[in-house]
Amino acid sequence: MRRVRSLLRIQPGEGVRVALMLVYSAAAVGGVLTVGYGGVAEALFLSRLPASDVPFTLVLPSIALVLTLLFYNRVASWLWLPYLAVGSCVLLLAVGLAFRLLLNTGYAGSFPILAAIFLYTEVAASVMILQFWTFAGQIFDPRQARRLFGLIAAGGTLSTVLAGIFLATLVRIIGVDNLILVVAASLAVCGMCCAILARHLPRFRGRRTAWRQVVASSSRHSLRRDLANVWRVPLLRAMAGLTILVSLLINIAAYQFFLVLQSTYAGRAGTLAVFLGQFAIWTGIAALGLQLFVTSSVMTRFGIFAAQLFFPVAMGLTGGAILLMGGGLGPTALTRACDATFRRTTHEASFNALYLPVPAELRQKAKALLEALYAITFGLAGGVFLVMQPAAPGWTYQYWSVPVILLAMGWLVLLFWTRRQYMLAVEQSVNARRLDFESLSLDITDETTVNVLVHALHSADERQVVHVLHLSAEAPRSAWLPHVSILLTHPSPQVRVMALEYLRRAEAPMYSTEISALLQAPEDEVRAAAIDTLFAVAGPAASTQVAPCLNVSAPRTVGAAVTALLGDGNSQYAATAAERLAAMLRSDQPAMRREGTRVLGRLAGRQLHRAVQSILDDGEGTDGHALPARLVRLLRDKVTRSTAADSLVQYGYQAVPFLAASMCDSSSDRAVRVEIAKVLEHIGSATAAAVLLDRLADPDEVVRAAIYNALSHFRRTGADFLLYDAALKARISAELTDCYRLHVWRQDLREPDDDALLVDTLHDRIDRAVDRILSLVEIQYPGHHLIRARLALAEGNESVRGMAVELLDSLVDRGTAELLLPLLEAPIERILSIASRHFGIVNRSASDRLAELAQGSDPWLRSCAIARIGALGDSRLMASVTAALEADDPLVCETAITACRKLLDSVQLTAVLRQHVSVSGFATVRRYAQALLLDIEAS
Amino acid sequence: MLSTIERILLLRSADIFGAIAAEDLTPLAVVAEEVRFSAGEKFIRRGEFGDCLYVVVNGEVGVLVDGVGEVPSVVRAVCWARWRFSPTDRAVWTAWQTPSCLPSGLTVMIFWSYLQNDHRLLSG
Repeated sequence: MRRVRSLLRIQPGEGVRVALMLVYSAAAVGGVLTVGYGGVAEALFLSRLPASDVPFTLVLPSIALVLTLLFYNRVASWLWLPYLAVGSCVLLLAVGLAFRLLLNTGYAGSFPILAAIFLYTEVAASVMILQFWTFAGQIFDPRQARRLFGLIAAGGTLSTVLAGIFLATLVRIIGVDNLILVVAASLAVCGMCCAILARHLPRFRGRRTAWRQVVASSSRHSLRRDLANVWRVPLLRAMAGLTILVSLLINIAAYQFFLVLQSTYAGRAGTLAVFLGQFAIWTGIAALGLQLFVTSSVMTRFGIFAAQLFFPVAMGLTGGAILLMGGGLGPTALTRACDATFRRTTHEASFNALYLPVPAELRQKAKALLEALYAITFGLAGGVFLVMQPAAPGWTYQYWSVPVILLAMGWLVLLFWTRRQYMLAVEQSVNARRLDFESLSLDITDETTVNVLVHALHSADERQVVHVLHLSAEAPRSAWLPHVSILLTHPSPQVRVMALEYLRRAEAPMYSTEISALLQAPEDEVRAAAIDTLFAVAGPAASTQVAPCLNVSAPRTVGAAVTALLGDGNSQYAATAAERLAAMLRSDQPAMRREGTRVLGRLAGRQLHRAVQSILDDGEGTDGHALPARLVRLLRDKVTRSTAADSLVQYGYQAVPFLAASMCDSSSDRAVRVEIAKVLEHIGSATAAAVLLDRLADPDEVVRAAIYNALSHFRRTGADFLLYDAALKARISAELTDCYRLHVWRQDLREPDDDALLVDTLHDRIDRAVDRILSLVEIQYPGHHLIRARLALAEGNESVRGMAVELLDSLVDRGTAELLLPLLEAPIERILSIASRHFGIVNRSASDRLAELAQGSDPWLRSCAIARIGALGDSRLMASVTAALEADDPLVCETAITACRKLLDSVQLTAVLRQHVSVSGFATVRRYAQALLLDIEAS
Repeated sequence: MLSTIERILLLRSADIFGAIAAEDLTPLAVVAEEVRFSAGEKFIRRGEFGDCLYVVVNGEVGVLVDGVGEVPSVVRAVCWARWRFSPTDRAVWTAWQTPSCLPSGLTVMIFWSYLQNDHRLLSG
């Protein structure tokens, strides 16, 4: 069974859905279309009515189909799909049985009854196929569509072949009239499939509720509005164009074929029937082979647009053959055979996959409307033939190959535009899952809005007031000042701080007294905001009031005072403030050091006295760039790191040389270098990008990830930098190799028990490696919102994830896609196969792999491997643990001691512990060894 | 005494740290302090200022929550925070070592020093 699943590319969890869809497809196409339309309808109509009625077979179906599909579209807008599908099956089944009863009456040979049966089978087949593809679009995501649409459609193709083979026998046994019962039975099977498939629709219950909401909102939808909604989506416009082209191509080819048949088999109905039977069987077999072995494979490997090429290219080539050979049954039959072989297989499967980025409710309407468009085009073309035949008798069937070739060429041109629209639709589909709050806006000048906001400003609810203050930041300030100034006495410190910030931005000196009063506020942050605002509105005149704040112990207050007093270059307090700042940076209190660091950032762009600079230079001699150099050093302190990073951004290009030096220093801490990459990302200049590019192949994967993220942010914001395509591809290739290696390692070390630290770590590393690759892809393909795709891939929502993978598949080059996409969606067996075949990374025994990792260069992986060896008590790997006891990383060394507890006897362990207590260079290791030694001695 | 790797294994089994990669828990495990309490000893008192986070390694903890009463005892790898997002927040429960504890007493790890210096870890 597994082999069959693998052969058919069915992944775990998909089997039931695929089986149901195969049965559904067989019943709809084989039972309703082939037996119904191709058997009952044509046989009864053509055998019991005169030749003069034959043109109605071209005109009537298109009219009936258009009316039916428009009605269907109306019903579909308020009825949930499974209800609609089952209901239409039941209705059509009842009508079919009624027709069977009518065939037993005296009206069985009348035109109205036979024409009605003809229309009934045409409508039933169209509705069943439409519903089949609508279900397919809802229960499979775009990735599954590529793999499975060809397969599920194969059920229909196979049943067509079987129906063609057994139709004659069946007619002999039950008669033509009773074939209508086969149609009814097929409709019953379709209905049952729909009922069961309803349970496989995503979020079964939620979807039904959501559908009711859609129904409520769309109950007044008109046909015009539906058309407008479909027309508004460029992808659907492109698909409408393709629909018109396919309808014309099919119609012309059928017309040519009928004319050739008429001239070749005139008066030889029996021979014609035999020919048509053989034609149906052979085209069916060709279609089945194509469906099973080509469609899915082409769609998966080369994409849906490659699959879309088959039909027009085949039509163009066979049309050319007719012209070159001067006509004849052979080439004309080949043109006609394109319908059964290519249109029903590669074209239909790939065309229905194009609908998937379209929202579900619009998709259903669009399908019905495009089907109606197909029928209208078909009918109109039939009308043209009726007019042309008597009007231009010299225009023989061979000449109709000219428009066939032109239409096929037009198709290829339209396909390019369709591909572009498809990618945009996929991008939008991924993006639409996230609300863009930045796009939300409020007209703050509108009088009604202002009244509401002013009322809310006086609310007792602190959150409301804060929210209004946020909103009013964008408003004309003069009108709001009286309302905001009242808030300076608000009980909430957050509101008072926001009010002060508002007044600072407004530079409103008339409130200086109220602001000064807040210098005595009990809260540190309020006092700090008061100092900032007072200096903004009163200038250096406020120095005397602020100077005493230099001596307080509250970090924010003293920080604000230092910033204010240093800002005024001529202030008599500047030197004192500089001394205070230097003391803050040396303080034992983390909060004070952090505040001092923040002050350094706030001084960016200000002219400082040389004396002040020398105080802050800390003896490093940084040639007038004391502050950024000092901030880079503050990155080493984890207390001040984050604040120093924010402050460095304020210095922009001035900070870049110092950041570059620290980034290139391999002895710098990983966390420092990651922070530097983020700072460079925010600085966003060409020199900042150059520093990042210089470290593109940094050996530390965490630093590399930060560099990639920074560069992809550069690309997103439109900042340009020079990165050769070859260098970028080399990095992608290196990261892909890493990722495949991690997969192989994880597979080698998969553990059945709960102790899965190592395997979990490898899992995390794989996720990180994939994200690094996606960052690089984002750098390679800017302007496609791949950041959203990356976020979607990290989420659990399968539908969004599938759409994100589809976007990548449509975007990246084939070489990268063939290695990247399996990492995102393929089963582990395929990943291991690629790792072995493409990268030469092969599986090893768990023991060998543990030994390899325990002696590797990655301290964390090494520690995990040693911990695993200890947990297993595998003494064969003792050599790896012994080597780790001498490691130059404290975690590795300490973990080796932990492993020794399981692997050594107490005498050996005591010896190891004593050695580490006396000679280990790591305090944590010494402390741990000492504690274990005491435990052993105590026991 | 637990080694760093053993502390990491314990931390990752606590819900609050479940979403963090084990590797990223290393700095936290390094600064964690092990503290032992005897049976009946209270280590969080209602109304105390928040300044640390406890992860129970071994033993059982009784908890009395204001307005709720006593809640079922908890065992290892459960976090009890005295530290909250605002330094002015106070504990709203009282936690104590239950009499049915193991002979070795309750062992917890606390992280006050780390939290004091890197609030971003918990805010994240």
